[in-house]
Amino acid sequence: MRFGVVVVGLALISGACASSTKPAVRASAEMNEGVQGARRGYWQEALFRFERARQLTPENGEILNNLAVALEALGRYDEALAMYKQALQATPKNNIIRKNYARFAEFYTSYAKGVKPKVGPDALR
Amino acid sequence: MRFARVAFALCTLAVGCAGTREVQLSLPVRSKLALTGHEKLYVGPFIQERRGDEKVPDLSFSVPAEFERYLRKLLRKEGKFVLVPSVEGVRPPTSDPLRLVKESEFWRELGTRTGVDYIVAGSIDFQVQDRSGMKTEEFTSPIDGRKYYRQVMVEQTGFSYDIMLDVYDGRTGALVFQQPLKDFQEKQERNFDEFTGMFANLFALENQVIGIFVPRTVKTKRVLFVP
Repeated sequence: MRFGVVVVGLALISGACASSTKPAVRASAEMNEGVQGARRGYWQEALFRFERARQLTPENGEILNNLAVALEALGRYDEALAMYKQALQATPKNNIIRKNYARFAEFYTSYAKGVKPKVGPDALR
Repeated sequence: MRFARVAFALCTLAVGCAGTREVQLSLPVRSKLALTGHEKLYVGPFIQERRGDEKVPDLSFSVPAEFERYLRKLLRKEGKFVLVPSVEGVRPPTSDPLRLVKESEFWRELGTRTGVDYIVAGSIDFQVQDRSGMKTEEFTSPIDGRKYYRQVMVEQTGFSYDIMLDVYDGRTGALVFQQPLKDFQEKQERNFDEFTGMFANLFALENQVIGIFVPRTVKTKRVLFVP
């Protein structure tokens, strides 16, 4: 009996949450699709999905980060730079975004100035 | 109370499910010169730079000739360019690199003679520096454990390479691209072979040289957020 009350309570809460955060749920689904595409190397598809996720929740730093990565993968470096900056503005203390941005900045500086990149994860092949 | 605990645990679980995933990227990097990769190129001439009254190092090989040969090999390996064979008796009108850049008539004539789209030439300064000498070193005595300073003989040979790579339009003789390339290598040995030293410099510069002519990709990793 008690268990039944708990289940009904949870169902009611989740139902209420679903109706109030519908765009967030849809954004999560889009983001998930985007990550699946990115894992397969379909960056154009990933970018499309992340873009849709951003339309649903525009100030989400995690979505902006994923968008920046997709833009980077497609060689749209200037747009990626702007997107990383937006992501950091939205969530300034997120270490993952900061790490991504640092790696990108190192590459972007080398690429733009023609400086020899360092040996490491960004080493030339 | 118990219900609150269950709800809290479920919420924590839901938040914890949102994770990250590392992805591999191959970032495209355009070549510095806008080329299709099938152009006709002429490599040379390269001139050896002189710094004022400093004499050119006495080497058993010609640095410009070796660099020219190396550049030809690199361009043949990395691109699909049509490399026109060297023309005998091409003498630059001046040995001053700054003035040579402005001799567009000479470059235009060379371009017409060889029928190429671009001429890759420039100037080279290769220095061998014997850096042997006495150096002060900190030393901890195994007997009394105190720190002492002693003079040690350090034997090093340094090789510095300073190249100014110029690309000229074969039709007009105009300079279309210029890139300085610098490298310094140090070997823990005195009188280290100059030829090996020179190629150690060149291998270090390879990515920069090829990046001028051929698009490349850079392998790297980034992190994506998964909801």
